[in-house]
Amino acid sequence: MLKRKGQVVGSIVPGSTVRLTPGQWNAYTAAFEAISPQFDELRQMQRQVDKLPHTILEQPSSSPDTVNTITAEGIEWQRQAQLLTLPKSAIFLCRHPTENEFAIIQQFPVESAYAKANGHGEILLRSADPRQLVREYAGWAQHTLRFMASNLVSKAQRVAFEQFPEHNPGRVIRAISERCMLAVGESVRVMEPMRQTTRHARGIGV
Amino acid sequence: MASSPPVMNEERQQSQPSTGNSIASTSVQMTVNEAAYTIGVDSFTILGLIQRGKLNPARAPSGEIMVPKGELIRLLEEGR
Repeated sequence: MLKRKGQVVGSIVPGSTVRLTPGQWNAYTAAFEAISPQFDELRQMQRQVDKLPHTILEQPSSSPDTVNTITAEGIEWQRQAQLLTLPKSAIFLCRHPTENEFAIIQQFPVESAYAKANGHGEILLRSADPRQLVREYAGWAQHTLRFMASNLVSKAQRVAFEQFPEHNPGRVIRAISERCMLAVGESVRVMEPMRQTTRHARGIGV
Repeated sequence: MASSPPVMNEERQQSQPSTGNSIASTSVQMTVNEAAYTIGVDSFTILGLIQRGKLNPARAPSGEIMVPKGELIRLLEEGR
């Protein structure tokens, strides 16, 4: 805790450049707790995405007797490598059984409503070049993680502005934003704090 | 990961009681977590569906992504 002339002027939030007063710190803690499980998920996903290019290099193609298949669009694709493990699904690099084609396929639990409607396996990308495919998917997944981080900041923003309007919630949100962006490999950049009353009054278009 | 249902948003709590993961029991809009729970996927998948244009989101005043109930129904019906 930093003090100036005996007065507490705040402490820095880990993973950010923002210094918060004790009151702001309480707001930060409450807002961050609201997103904490998803933040942990985000970090875990980022670790997996960081390893994606190596995953394909480290995992040899399955031999014919150990091949597992995933059915997607009526084709029994052969699994080549597991790319990501999500809380309720998994993403694989797969090979076409007869043609020189590869696909990134997401596999869902058969009992989920989504799988019942759309099938157990869903093709996300396909190409003849597996390395290019994995690179492209890694970029796509990274983009989704940034989207996820941005959505977490918005969720935290709601908590901070609703519950701690007197504690400079914009500053609190800046700390959370920096922490979330850092978690997805973004350099720290300053986000404009939300002007809650204005946005409530106008609403936001989609 | 999280196996318990997410906390329902205020709008849903005010309108109708939740009865598990039935879409019919939900109100107009859901958070990403609620939408994910409802159709048995994860939030990463919901955001991916939005990015690929398969789900059209709305936004809460805070900027948080919301999923209209009708969008989830359309997503499931189009798959069938």
